[in-house]
Amino acid sequence: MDSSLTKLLQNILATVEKKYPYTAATVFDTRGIEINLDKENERIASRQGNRGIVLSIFNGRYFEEYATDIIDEKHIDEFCRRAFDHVVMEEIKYELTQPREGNRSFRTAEKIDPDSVSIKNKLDILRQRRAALLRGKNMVNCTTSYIEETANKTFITRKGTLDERMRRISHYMVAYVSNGKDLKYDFFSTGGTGGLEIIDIPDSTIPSLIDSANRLFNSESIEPGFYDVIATPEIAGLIAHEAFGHGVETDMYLKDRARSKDYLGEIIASPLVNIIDDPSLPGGYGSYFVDDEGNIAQPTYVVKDGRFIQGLTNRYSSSVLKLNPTANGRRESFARKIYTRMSNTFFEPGTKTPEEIISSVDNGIYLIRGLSGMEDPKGWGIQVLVLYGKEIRKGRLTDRIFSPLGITGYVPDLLKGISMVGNDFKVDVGTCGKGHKEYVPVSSGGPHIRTRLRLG
Amino acid sequence: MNKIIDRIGRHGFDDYKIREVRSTEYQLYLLKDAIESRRTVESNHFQITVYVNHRVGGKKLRGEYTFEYKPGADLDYYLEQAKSACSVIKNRHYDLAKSSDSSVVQTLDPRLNDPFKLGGQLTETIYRNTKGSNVYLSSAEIYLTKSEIVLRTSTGIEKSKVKGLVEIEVTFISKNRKVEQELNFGIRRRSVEDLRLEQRLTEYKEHSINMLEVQIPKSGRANIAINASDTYKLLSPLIFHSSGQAKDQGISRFVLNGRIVEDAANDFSLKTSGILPFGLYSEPFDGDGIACNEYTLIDKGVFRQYWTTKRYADYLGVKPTGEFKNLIVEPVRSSTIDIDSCYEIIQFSDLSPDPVTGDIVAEIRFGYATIDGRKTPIKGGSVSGNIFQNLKRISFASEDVFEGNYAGPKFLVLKDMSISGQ
Repeated sequence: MDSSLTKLLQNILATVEKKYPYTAATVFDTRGIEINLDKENERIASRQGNRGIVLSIFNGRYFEEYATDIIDEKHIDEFCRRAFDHVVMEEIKYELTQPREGNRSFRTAEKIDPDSVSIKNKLDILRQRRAALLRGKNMVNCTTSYIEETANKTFITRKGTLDERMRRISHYMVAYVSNGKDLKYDFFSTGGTGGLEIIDIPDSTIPSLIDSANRLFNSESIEPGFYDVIATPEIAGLIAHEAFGHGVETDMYLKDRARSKDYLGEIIASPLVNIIDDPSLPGGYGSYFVDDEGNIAQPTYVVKDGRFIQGLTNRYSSSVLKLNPTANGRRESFARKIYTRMSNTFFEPGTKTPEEIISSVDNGIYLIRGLSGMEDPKGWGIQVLVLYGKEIRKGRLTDRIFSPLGITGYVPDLLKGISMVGNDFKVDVGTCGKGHKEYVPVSSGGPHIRTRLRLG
Repeated sequence: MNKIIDRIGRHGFDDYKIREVRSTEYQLYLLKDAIESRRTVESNHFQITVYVNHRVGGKKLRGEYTFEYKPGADLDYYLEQAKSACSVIKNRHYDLAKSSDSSVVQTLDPRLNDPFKLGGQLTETIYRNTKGSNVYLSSAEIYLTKSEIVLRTSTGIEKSKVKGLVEIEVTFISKNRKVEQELNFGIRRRSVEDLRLEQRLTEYKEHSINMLEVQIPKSGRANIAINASDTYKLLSPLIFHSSGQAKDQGISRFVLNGRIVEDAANDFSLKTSGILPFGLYSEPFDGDGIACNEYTLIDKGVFRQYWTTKRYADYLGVKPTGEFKNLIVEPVRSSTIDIDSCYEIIQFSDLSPDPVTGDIVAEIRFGYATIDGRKTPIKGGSVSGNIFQNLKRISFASEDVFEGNYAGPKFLVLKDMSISGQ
């Protein structure tokens, strides 16, 4: 980041050091490109929406924030001074935890630096994949996308500066097939923090995608009811995220909106269940080194051996509720407020192989492709939409496919019903909203798990 | 703006489209009876698309690149990147829109000119209408935005528009000795009056109290009443398949002058309107500069027209309608609906029909099951079906409402949907 801007912001914060219990400035500068191809069209666009500055001032009771994307030193100087003039100090009701002292700088590790590869070469990779997709059976169209973002963030307080540069890359392919009567699709996604190596995919990916899309022509609607299910890591991740990820965001505790508040230290899941939120997970799409409030990333055991250990916090919730702080204060962009948010949320692997888990089911469903999820922290409900699942009969997958599928249920029943946990592990790429807004990059995943769920 | 145009010219692009956005937003967050946070956000940025023409084998092709420029950033860096991208992209050619008149439509409530005063008034309304026995305000968020947009293109368009937006999210907690429940709802409108905030708070407070008695619905099949607030999402697969882009990509299921479904019990017309007063998506002109208007896409069950941006209109050889705006539904005849045997869904957890297949699976966050005239609050379980299949058995309420991005029947009923419950 521009060092003169950092210096200016440090100087401005120093002038008000004694007046306010807490002040910070955060500078966001995200750059990147997005390439999208379909059968006929190619589009390239830059991604740099999140470029701006937030000035955060705690007045003893609540946060006053002023944000701008006009990054001109003269304007910033005036903007900050005007902001401080507007803030009214209140009697101190809450003592905020203070940010760490000193300066540190972080940067994503990359094997292949995306900056060393031209736009044309990236485009050519997508063109080759598009051509391979369009050669497939019944293919009428496809989309292939590549998204690369370099998110620079500098968190400045009077005690120091934390600087991080995260490179996030994601890649998507959608195959549309038609048999002349019905139109079906399936998709593939991959992503993470790192370099261009993230979009290396096995040769089998595209044939497998075309095959799975075509199989959906024979899909059936499922009879609503409870089923023994095996969730792939993708679906297990969605369950972890929606069931006991959103449910332990402690800013919701302040609003009486999360039931888990009353279950700290209690058994809420099968003893096989361990759920972790880890923003420091190497390569995770939801990873970061420093959260948006200057906390250094570290893993949090949310559930250990089935017991609810700790919720996720931001600075305000941990200070007011006097909870151990975690590095989960995040904002969608400079234009939005900090909330408690997840990062990479997953079930910890167990001991069974996926094959052992499948062979244990006499009659059930193998849930494969996740679409979306929605939380209900107060009611402990859950909604996960699944594009398709396969039937399991006598320990084997059959050719019978059900699509679409909706998982609903009561979170403690679902978590207590987990009877097997796989020894495999995978996290995916995703975007998470708080309710229906405030989208941040996350990942979720884990191993294969066996449980019992309501499907519709 | 002139400096940007000058720099674009120096880099040798054939065309450009520049959209300058200036906005101010006031955000207020309430935590029970106190303020949690107040935020002021100012923004000034330019969304720029530049174009380079190519000629390959006598065929006219076009490269394009879109980027966002914020004052203070290095514009030449982005223009160099744009030049490089445009040299490798060779799409079918299409023309930018030419200068034309704009439509006249109300998009700014003058009360947004003083967001601090308005924020205070809305806060008072929220506090006044959320107190009650067994129920209290958990939290509320208020967003008040005013933005001014200027569009300039190399084809001579130079237009501006001003838009306002009021967004409110409210969460109630209800509790008795045995149970505690929450009910959260959000409203987005261009005008304060259209929020009908007092009425909504009163309704949701009542729903919130009723939530204390909820039961999980029984599995089986049922008629499902969908509220006007969910109609846009419910019918989003129809919007997708009626787009010129879907037609161009070969994935639209609609055929011009063909029926959208055979053997429909109740036909309806579907329109897109960019000129609905204070419609959420109303504006004088769209992102290409095309004057917004009202177009009938489905006329009494027959598909008549694709909605098309300028690009896809050129590809399909039709006149552009501009982007899809607000949804208008007009039934051929309104139905007398048997509400004595119906599930009325007040809120789904997330209603996101698959735009391609039309499949619907959604958890019931809150609603009422009316069986033999007896109304019971319900929560949990899911509703599933397929919108294209269910259009055959759709019926409409006789009363019309305006819901921000939708005007039409107050609710519609999808018959014989699948319920996964207990």
